[in-house]
Amino acid sequence: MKGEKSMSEIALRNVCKQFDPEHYGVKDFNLDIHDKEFVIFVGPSGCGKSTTLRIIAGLEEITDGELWIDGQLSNYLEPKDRGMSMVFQNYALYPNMTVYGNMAYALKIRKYPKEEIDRKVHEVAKILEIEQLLDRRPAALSGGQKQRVAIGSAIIRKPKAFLMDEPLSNLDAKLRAQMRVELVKLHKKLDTTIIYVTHDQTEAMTLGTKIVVMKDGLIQQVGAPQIIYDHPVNRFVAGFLGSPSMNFFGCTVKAEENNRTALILDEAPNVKKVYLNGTRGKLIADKYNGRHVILGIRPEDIYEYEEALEMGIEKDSEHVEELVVNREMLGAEVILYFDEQGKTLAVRLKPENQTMVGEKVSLYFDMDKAQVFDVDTEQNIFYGEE
Amino acid sequence: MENNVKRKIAPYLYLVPCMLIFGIFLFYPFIKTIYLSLYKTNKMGQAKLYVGLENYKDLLQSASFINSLKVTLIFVVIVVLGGMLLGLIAAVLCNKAFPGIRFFSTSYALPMAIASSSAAMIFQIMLHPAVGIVNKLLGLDINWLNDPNTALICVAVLTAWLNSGINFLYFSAGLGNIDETIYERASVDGATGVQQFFSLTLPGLSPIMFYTLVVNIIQAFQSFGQIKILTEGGPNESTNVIVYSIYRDAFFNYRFGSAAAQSVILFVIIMIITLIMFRIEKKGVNY
Amino acid sequence: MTQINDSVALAVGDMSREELLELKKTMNAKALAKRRSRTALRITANVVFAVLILLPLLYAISIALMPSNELFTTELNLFPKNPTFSNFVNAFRTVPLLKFILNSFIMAGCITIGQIITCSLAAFAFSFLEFKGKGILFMVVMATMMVPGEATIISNYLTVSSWGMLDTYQVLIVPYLTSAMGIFLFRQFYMTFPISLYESAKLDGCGNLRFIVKILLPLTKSAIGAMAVYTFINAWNMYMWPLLVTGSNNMRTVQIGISMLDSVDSQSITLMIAGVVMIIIPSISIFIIGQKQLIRGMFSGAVKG
Repeated sequence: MKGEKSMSEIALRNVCKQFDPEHYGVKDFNLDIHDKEFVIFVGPSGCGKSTTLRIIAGLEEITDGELWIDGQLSNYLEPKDRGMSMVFQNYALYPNMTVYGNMAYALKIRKYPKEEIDRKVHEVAKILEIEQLLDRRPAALSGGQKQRVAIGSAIIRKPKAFLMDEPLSNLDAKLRAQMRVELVKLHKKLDTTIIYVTHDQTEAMTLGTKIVVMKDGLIQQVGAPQIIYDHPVNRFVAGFLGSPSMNFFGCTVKAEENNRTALILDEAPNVKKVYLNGTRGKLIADKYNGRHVILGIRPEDIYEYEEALEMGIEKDSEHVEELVVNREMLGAEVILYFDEQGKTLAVRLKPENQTMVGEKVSLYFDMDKAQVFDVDTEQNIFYGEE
Repeated sequence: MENNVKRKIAPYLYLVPCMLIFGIFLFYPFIKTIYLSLYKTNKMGQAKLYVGLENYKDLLQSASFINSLKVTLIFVVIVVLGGMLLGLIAAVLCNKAFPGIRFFSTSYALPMAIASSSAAMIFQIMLHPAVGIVNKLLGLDINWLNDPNTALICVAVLTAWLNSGINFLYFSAGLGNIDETIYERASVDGATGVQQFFSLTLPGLSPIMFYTLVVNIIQAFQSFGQIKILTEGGPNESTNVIVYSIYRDAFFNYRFGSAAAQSVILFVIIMIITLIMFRIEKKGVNY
Repeated sequence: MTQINDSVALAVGDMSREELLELKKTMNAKALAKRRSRTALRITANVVFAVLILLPLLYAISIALMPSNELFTTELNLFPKNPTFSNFVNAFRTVPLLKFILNSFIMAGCITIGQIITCSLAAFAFSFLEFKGKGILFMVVMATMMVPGEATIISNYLTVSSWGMLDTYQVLIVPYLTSAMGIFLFRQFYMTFPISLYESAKLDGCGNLRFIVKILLPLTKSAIGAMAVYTFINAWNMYMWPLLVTGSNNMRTVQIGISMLDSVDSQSITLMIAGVVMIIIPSISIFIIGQKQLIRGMFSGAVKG
């Protein structure tokens, strides 16, 4: 029992959590979490990600469905018998104990011998660089320090999995960026499953090996970050990942000669057209000719004339000429903002770009990267077909 | 010009009612008490003979006053410990919601609405050797209030009961101030309910406990009604707390000077205890 | 804790659907039973403790309803066999209880109203007005909370007796027309209002008093409620001061008057307890009704006080 680290396989089958007759926190949640994975539940507020984490921890009851931990049906297992460690959003440090006491608590309860506790506490404190804080009380710590203590208290045992509920959300931006790097390192060092909850898609993209995008209690998509980014299953996932987020346009499909399918942007004062080629174009023309669809294109897949020329995509966009309404200089890139269809269109360009506010530019879309969504179901028409 | 004066005076006018009362019935008598304590008085309470600190000397040398000090101390200890224990138990019992909790939390707070004199009369019958419920339930035949060994405890228990109501309210508020998530964390960490109580709940109450302690102590020192009704300071002076001794000295012995001196001593004791407590809080109760 | 022994280690999906349902049903039932027993335990503990705490009151009611001849028995008589209201009726006959109740009501009522007035006026000055010595004066007011009753009660007695005020309503009421706690409470409350509330009223030409009466007080209802409950109950329960300064039946308050029924022969015991029960009823009623207000008012500031 002491010091061993177990393999862990966690499986959720059709898990539902109902708070009241109308309100489902989580619905039909199916997921396998394998040993050593860094799984991230991500989604907007209220999507059920924290609820699911708490279900795994044993802090919420499962209304329906099963939770399997290492092959054992664990729906009714007490939190303390599940072999997990949890880091809470507000750190939940014991206010009356020192940092040492906080970290030692879980071991003290399990009646570890004093010397061993001492050794482990110092070991962990060293890894997290909080050795000099061991005598302090939580009230005397900064946010970042508290967070390390919380993590330290969790990793001091060798649990089957680490559960982290938005641990970075209370830190300032710089510290958050730092801690992201630390967490990745930590994951490698600990070699244990981490189940992580966040609303920040940047964290999800950079930290996880597997991300679970959630909305309104339902899983939208599960997969590696880059794959989901490149092949979002629906409009929500497409718009959720990536910053600035994907640009969406209502269009009408018109099949044209030369195997080209035109997407005519609705309500565009000048005729604005983009073209889909090849199998993708054919797919859209077959199913949606004459109908409305939603075109999605990421800011980094839109270019000005010169680059478009270089890439050879200049023929795929017609008269998409826009007025620059805002310009953000971010050091490594420039973001230009335009008004289109009443919304803001964002375009990511190289830092050398000199286009200023008030100028008119022709924009070119890299249509090979574009996604098209069904207007009613909001599903990505290309998903699964490629 | 006139308006300006009016405006400057106006704020003070709002303070006049309360300052007037404080002045006449608090500051003045406080000074007067100190003044009286330096004199021997006549039956009307007028200072007649200046004796300096002699009243104090006499008191500190009198067996009766030393006894009062001792009795008061024991009394305060029992009252404070008992009252806080009752309040704590009640607060913990009502910590988590359950059907009927409203009724119970009202009941536990009820003692604070009851006069010490009324409670004393009820307790008098409860402790009645022949008729009282205490003897009947315990199957004993003790004359509680007339036995010098038990009288003080009885009066102290009554006072503890009276204080339990407000202690319950303080502790309930204190429990409500404890962050819920640390209990969740403790559950995941592996602590049982009992372990959580001792490592999280009790320490979490320490700030409010300090405040409650001070309030209880000050209250205990001022207990009067129940003693007057139940024991009148006896039997054999075993319940002659300082406040009662003051009352007796002033209104039965007409020794206002000595009574005043006792008042001053009592005030000093309370001050010292309060100051010590604040000093301890600064050092110890770290939260 | 027993779950670990009970659940079967299987690979996920090894179980048939029925087996799974069965297992879940038993585990669910166990968890439910565990939760129910925990609640039952809590309720039981509360019932036991509540009986302990309420015992004096319950006992008093029982005795008050008992005819006096039932009292002196050797058996355990927790409940009256022939409950009667005669004790209550007799209590009114034996002493002028009605007058005592009236006196107490007048005293407690005037003290409550008086304190609300003086404390809100003073707190108004402390929170909305600027004047020299404001800080010092406030400290002085707070310092009065440190002075215990005994230090002043004798001198106060001598003062009022030299004024010939003994045995009147005034002597019961006047010394208690203000309280530092009340000023503190109101001030805390007023501090939560933005100063612009007052300033805009002033700009509109509203005088201070008018502001207090028409604008401030209606907003302070909850603090007034809390204070009214607390002050009334404490005034109703006052013992030492009324004992010292009133002597005649005419002026006695309930707490003193009731002790007049105090004697230990059987006839009087049930009578006395009936009297006690009757004078407890007003204070408990007010407490129960005003409980929420009171608690909110007491703890609206920091809990640490």
